[in-house]
Amino acid sequence: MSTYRPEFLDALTLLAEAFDDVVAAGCGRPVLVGGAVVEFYTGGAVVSGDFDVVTPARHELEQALLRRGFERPSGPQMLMRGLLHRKLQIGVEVVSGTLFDGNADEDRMRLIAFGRSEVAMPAIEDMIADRLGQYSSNETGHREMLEQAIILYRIATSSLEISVDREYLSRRIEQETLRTYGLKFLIEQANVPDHS
Amino acid sequence: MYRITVESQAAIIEAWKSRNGVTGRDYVPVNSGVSRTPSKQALLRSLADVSADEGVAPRFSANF
Repeated sequence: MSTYRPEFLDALTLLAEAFDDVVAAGCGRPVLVGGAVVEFYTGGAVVSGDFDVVTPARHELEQALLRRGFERPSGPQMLMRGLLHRKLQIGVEVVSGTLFDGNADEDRMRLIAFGRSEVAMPAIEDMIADRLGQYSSNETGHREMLEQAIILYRIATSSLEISVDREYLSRRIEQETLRTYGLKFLIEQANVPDHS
Repeated sequence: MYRITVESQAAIIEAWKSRNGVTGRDYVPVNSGVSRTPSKQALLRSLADVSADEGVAPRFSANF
């Protein structure tokens, strides 16, 4: 499929299998966050090789990844909390045990099948809010986060298949930006009609 | 949770790209790397080292 980079799909397929192992161990399914989710929702080449994951089951996930060819980095770079896979040239890092500090509605998450396994991702509303939250924390340094939020919003609102929950999106933007921004700001920046 | 497929999301993206005259995959700005944690910087450096050790081009590129 040309929309996505083959190496991106290869990585998600391997992660999906590892996530299944965590579920089989009796834990909740880990959730992919960060740039990988932006890449999935937009098709743009955003991922830099590192995949961020939220799970309280760090040990179970690490064991599942180690069984699938991941390794702990060695040498002077011991600061790392992540694992890397030499053949796929990807890294995985558990960035939190709780999805968006508990502010995201987990019932809205998406499950995407890769082979016989599945990857869970936040709803697109949560990803838009997350990007705007990072932008608001450093507007000069994180202009790209605003651009990512705009493209996510444009794609979501142009699709008949996706129904953006504007009330939820508005609330999540205010949470992630500590009320610095709201939905009105995003709509203005995205320059798309507001049908609310 | 909602189940979606890679194919359905790809179709949404391709329809949007077609309507807006967008091509390629460089229409989304990548992370600047400004706020990467030391752990993330080290992980990305390690991935770059792996590519160098193997004598192959990185499968992913990164700012770090």
